[in-house]
Parts: sequence; C-alpha cells; structure tokens
Amino acid sequence: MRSISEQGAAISSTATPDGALAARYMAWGQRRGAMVAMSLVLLIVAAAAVTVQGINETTMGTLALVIVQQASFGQLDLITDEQSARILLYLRLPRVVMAIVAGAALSVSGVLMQAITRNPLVSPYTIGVSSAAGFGASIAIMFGVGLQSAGIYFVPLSAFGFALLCAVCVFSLAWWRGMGAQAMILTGIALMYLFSAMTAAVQFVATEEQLARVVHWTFGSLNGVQWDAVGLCAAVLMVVLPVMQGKAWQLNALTMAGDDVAQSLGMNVRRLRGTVTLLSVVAAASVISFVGVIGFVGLIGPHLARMIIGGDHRFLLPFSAICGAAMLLAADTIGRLAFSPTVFPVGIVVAFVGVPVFLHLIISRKRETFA
Amino acid sequence: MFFKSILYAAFVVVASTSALVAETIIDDVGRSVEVDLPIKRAVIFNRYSVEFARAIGAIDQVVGTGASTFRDPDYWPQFTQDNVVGQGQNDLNYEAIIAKNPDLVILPRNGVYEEAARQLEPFGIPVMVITAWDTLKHVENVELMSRLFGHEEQAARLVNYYTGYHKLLADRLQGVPAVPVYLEEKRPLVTVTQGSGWHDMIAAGGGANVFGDIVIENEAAARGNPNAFTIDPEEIVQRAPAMIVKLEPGSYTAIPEDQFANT
Repeated sequence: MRSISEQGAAISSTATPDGALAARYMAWGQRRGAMVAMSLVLLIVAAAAVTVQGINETTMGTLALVIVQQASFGQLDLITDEQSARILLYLRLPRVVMAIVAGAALSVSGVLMQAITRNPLVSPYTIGVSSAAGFGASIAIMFGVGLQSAGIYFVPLSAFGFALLCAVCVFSLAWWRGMGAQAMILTGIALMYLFSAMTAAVQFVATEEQLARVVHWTFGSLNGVQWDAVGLCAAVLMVVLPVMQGKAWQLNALTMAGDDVAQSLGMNVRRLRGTVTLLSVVAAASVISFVGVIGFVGLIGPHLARMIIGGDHRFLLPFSAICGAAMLLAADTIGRLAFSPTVFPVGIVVAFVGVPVFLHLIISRKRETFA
Repeated sequence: MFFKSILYAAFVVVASTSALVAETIIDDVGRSVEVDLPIKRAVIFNRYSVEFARAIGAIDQVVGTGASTFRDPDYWPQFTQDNVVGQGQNDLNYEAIIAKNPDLVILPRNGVYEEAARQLEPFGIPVMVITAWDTLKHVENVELMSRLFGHEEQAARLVNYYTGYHKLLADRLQGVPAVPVYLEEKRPLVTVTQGSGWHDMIAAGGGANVFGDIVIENEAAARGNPNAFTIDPEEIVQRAPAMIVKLEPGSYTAIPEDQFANT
C-alpha cells in the first residue's frame, strides 16, 4: 500500500496530462516553503535584535561572542565585557529562547488539537488544559511544604500531571460517547470552570505567601526562566514538531475529508488521533508547567498562520510555530521594555496585544476563513 | 616611636571600621545567607522593610526598591524613579537590580525569593528573606536589619520605643477586663486566630479575639489558616464581640508638609 504522501504526490502529478497543474502545485509548495524559511530567518533576526535591548547596554557583537563561546563549550575565551555576557547568558537569552519555544509549542499544540477535532475553537486553553495546570500548580504550592525532595520541579510536575489528566478526560469522553465538536468544546469549558473554581478554592484558604505564589504563577511569566526549563521544553518541541511534520499528509486528509475518507486511504485514524493527542498535550503542558498560564497563543497562533499560509499542514505546522513564537516574543519584549524597570507578566501582555490584532484580522479578512 | 604607634593604632581603627566581615545569617524562611557586613548597597522590596531601613537610619544604603513602594513619592523623598527596580516583591527586574550593584536583595516571605536567588546567583548577589510585616518578629527583624546595615544604636532606640509602649500597655491594662473583639480581614467573614500577628495585636491592645480559642490544627483545612479563617456569621453573633475591627485595602496618604509642620 502506498503511503498518504506518495498518494498525494501521485495525485498531483497525474491530475492533468500535460502536468501544468502539477507544476503549479509544486510552485505553490515552493513559495510556501520559501515563506516559512524566510519567516524563520526574520524570527531569528528579530530575536537577536530584542536580546540586545534592555537596561544594560550591549551589542550584537557581544551576543555573537557569547553564543560562539558557549558553542565551543568554553574552549574559546572571547568575552571582554563579563557583566554584559553574564546578563545575556543568564537573563536575556533564556528568556528570549523560552518565548520562542513556548510560543511555538503552544501554537503547534493548538494546530494539532484543531486538526484531530476538526474544530477551530479548540486550543490548550479552551479544553481546560491551562486551567488544570493552574490547579496542579496551586495544590503543589499549597501542599508542597515538606516535599523538598521533589525540588524546584515539584510545581511543574504537578501542573503537568493535571494538564495531562484534563486532556485525557476531555478526549476520552469525546470519543467514548461519540461527541460532536460542540459537545467536546462544552466539556472542555466545563472542566476549565471546574479547575478554575478549584484553584480559587485553593487561593481562598492559602496563606499570604502561598497566595502570592499561586497568583504569580497564574499570570504566566518568563521573568524567572532558566536554562533547565528552556532545555526541557525545547527537547519536547524537537520531538513533537518533526514527528507531526511527518504526519502532515495524514492530518491534511483527516481535516479536509474526515475520518471515513482518511480510513479509506489506509490511515489508522484511531492511532493517529491517539498519537496527536498525546504529543499536543505534552507540548502544551510542558510549557505551561514552567511559565504558567499563557492562554491565548494556542488559539490565535494557528488562526494567524492559517490566514497567511493556508490549511496545508506541511506548511501550517512550522509556520504556526513561527507565528506563536513571534507573538510571544513580541509580547514578552513589550512587557520587559515598554514600562521598564517595571516588568509586566507575558500572560497579561499577550492578551492586550494579541486580542486587538486578532479582532482586526477577523474583521478585515473574508468570512470563509472562519467558516 | 610614639608617633609610629599612634599611626599604627589609627590604621587599625580605620581598617577595622572599613573592613567587611563575611557572616552567615539564617533568614526568615530558614535559608543560610552569606553576606559581607555591613551592607553598603541594598535593594529592598516591600514597603514595611524599607520603612524599617529608614527607621534605623539606613535609608541612604537602600539603592533600589519596587514601584509599589515608590507609588507615593512624597512619602519617600529619599527615592527617585531611578531607584525603582521592579514592580514589587513578585515582579522583579533583575537587570535593573544588577545595574544597581547591590550587596544584598531583601524580600519578604510572600515575595519570589526563590526565583530571585536563582536568577541573581550568577551575579554573586545574595537574597535574604526578612518579613517586616510579621508583627511577631518585629524586634527580631529590626535587630537583624541593624546588624546588616551597621546601625545598632538607632535600632536599639527603635526597639526600646516599640517594647516600651508594649510594656506601658501591659502595665496599664493589668486587671482591666479584656474587651471581646471581632477582627474581620479584607474579605467578608474571614477572621484571624492564634498564630496571626493581628491576634497578637488585639491581645497587646487589651482586647480578646473572640475567635482566639480556635486551634487551627483541629479545624478542617478548608476553613483556612490563622491569618484567614472562614466563619459563619451566626458564630460572630454567638461570640458577642463588644468591638468590631474591619481591615480595608489601601494605605494612608502622607500628611502635606505644611500641615505636618503646624501639627
């Protein structure tokens, strides 16, 4: 049996006898590929540009030296301005890289969840994953006293566990009861309210210091990010994105034609759904568990990407990662620099900046984009 | 020879007064913090702690604070916008802190001290937890800050002032029946029990907290903690307080200077 990608290629090359359509399709694909590559380059340039901005004045040259020195595992000793180098290495770079990784992971997670449910309203936030993570973090903060052996990872682990539990509940219920898309969203919203209420209950009985930590966590912030968290989230993204990229044709078949057609093309739809669910939830939960609740990127990132590049998952997946990364990077940079020395949590800024942009896009775009 | 001895003695005095002494101090949450004393440059978050620094005469050694402390510039003429290094005890701007080159950062225990310690460690800036709003630790905190900043004499005066009034109250209230008091926290139907600073303040003022008999360990966890204990309104009526104290958010504005001068 031919794979889905082979079938797609075969269809595209035999659609017209003279191959004109195939050529047009190839050109279209190349243009999309170039767009993704160019956006990635722009994102890297933008990231470098914002990394050198801050209270401590530094330059692109110092940034380059820091990166080269780290890449050489300390074999090269290039740094002359030690203080700037430390600020770049321990404060700004982890923050900027985490903004990119977290934005990308949340956005990719949104695309995947929307693909398997064929529902554009699904995101880690709307199915309750973020609220569940918030509750997990809250009870870890509340009852974590004395659990020092779990160290600084106790709160993220608890958040991760509850996020996973929530997603499993929503998706299991949906498939077990054969729910439609709307019922699934409603289930997610119900769980979101349940976990939010439980978090509020935890806050109600928390001490001053516990309450401060819970509230701080629920804001969503990159202020305290360190390389270990960046590394873990990046590792998850490095697994999820390529694996899902390899299934882009299958996701196309599933979203465009539905379960029956996908099955008739030889796909194991049940297994695909299981894999995609697991990876999308792991991607979102790993990020949320370290940086707190950042609700909007998982919903807006995929839509923004779809508006610009279309619904073909071969391009949508990497491009939505870039869109999500760019959004979170922009929001964090604004939060960090706009009112400096006051730093605004990224979870607040992303809503302030993202919602008007999203509304503008909805209003200015054609109706069918959201049909 | 005599002149040499004088010179040597003078050198020893100067050296001993200017030399920094490394000390390990156990902070409010039990962490060991190594600092060079006395502290010349400190960043302090939380206005209670900054107030302590001012009260012991160490405000000139405070080089940075939060915007939530500085929100009333008239009250803090010692600071300018340049001294702001973050929003408050939960939103620190680490770059701004580093730019101030402090010897120590002080946070209360309801601040992000763990995050701050991790982020500032590569820069060699220690983070210490001092919770100045904890009235039970008032004397202990003032003495610790005096040790940190090297202002023992002024701190001793402040402690004497505080403990003096405590003693005066205790003396005058001897034999006076305690007034039953219900204290309501900012949230409705939430009060305080034994173990709360408010409970101790009521007792020190000659009152008796009507919920002071509650042993928090014997209560359901869902009812809260000593600082926030949920109650049924019928319980208040049943316990018949003679006085009700209600906490409200916000702070007093500073008295205008001319009015203050005429007071």
